Amino acid sequence: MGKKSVVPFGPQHPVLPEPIHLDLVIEDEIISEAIPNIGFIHRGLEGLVEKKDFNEMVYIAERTCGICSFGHGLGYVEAIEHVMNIEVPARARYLRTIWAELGRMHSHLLWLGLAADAFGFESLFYESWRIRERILDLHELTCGSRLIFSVNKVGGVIRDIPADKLAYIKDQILIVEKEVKNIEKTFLGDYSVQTRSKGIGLLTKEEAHDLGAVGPFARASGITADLRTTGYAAYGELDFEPVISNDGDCYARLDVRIRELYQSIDLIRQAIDKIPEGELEAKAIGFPKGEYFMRIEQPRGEAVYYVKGNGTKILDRMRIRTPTFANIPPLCETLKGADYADVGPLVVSIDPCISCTER
Amino acid sequence: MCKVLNPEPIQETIALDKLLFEVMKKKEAGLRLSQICVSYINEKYELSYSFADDESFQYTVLRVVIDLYEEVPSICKIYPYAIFYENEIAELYDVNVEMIDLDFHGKFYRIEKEAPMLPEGALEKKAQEEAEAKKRAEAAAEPAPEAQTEEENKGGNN
Repeated sequence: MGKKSVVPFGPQHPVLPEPIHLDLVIEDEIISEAIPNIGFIHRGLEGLVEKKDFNEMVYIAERTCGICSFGHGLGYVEAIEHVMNIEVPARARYLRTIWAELGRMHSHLLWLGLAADAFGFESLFYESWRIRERILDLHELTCGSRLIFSVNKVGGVIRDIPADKLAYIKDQILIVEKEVKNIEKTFLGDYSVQTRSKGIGLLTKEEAHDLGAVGPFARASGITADLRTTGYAAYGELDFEPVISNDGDCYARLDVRIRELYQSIDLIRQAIDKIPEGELEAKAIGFPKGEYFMRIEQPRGEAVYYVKGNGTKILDRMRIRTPTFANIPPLCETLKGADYADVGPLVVSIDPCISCTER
Repeated sequence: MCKVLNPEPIQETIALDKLLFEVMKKKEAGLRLSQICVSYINEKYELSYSFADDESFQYTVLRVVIDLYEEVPSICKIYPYAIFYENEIAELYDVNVEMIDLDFHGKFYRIEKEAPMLPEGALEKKAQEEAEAKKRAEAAAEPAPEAQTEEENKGGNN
């Protein structure tokens, strides 16, 4: 038996894009316990609900996070639309789906780059982020900005994507598909990637369920839940199946996210083919009165948006529960028994988003 | 088309003393704790415990409305990962959560201001309510003067 020692990991660490701190209890370089600690960048965005009217809160919700900003705006407006009984026009729902999937692609490509960087494969990191640039260009083309979309509004969307741009998106995602196939060979076939990811950070299906894991992290352990199958936006009119793996290790998390990239490409194609002509928004009359818990599938998993209105323009409460918040406890479980050298890639494997978590 | 499953969420309001029992029932039913949220409404705390069924996508919310001075039992013995949510509501809203397994003691988000999400004056009201509740508890613990005399009288007769 070796001597037990506590090694601090983070909040500043080369593999961490954002600050999270873990106290790692280590014995002979093997982790026996991990105690998480966050709170370095808490911003209190939910508190702004007392000052901003419910329409302005869309822009606050979007700024929860730069990576999944579209999803945050979407979750918030869908919650308000439920409270106000607004029927969103079909074209707006399809546009939201296209943007949500573009957002998922840019988030997964960003994560693939970070994962490659975490296990020391720098050229793969550059390549993943180079592909991601093409998606960001599509954001800019359709919304005017690369990260914060600002196209959602209560009742619909504020911008349309004309037919020529939809055709252009289809061409571009065809190129992206080919490029993803190239990096997929390295991500899933390369010996050094496999040695850093296969069998590392195992989380069984039972553990994932018992510890409340969500999103691709949970699906890599065999949990089939994907909230897009609840049919929000236009997902109910598209054909897809949740992507799952039963291996539960870091390699499975890579595999699931890469296959989800293809799934997003397919969903964008389906949405472009089926998008109907029509209005972009329905009129929102009055103020929200009532409450609703809206759940959507963000790139990192289930996100919950709770709104409670009192019949005035100022809401009583707006709360966002982000996926990383739910994924930290199972992360700590996967760290138990892991080698200290694997901590970096393992932490990155849940795709942590701390600015989301701390809102 | 994908198979769409989106049942209407279920919401039930329960008494505080039924909380652990109801949460245990959700655990036994195999539900995942999705989140815990608190709102400050009409000078009371409105706690919402949400549970998700990942197969049927049924979302269930248990609502508990409590006075500011009341203490909520921690559910982390049933759902160990509730500690984050409980530390969050304790720090942002100053909800009295009893016996959290991993208690950050108000340093979960490292915010200097106490209960930053409560409106102005709410903390003072809470302190006042807590003082009144304490007085009531002390008064209830003290034996009533008449009863005491009766006891003494009985003792004297013996």
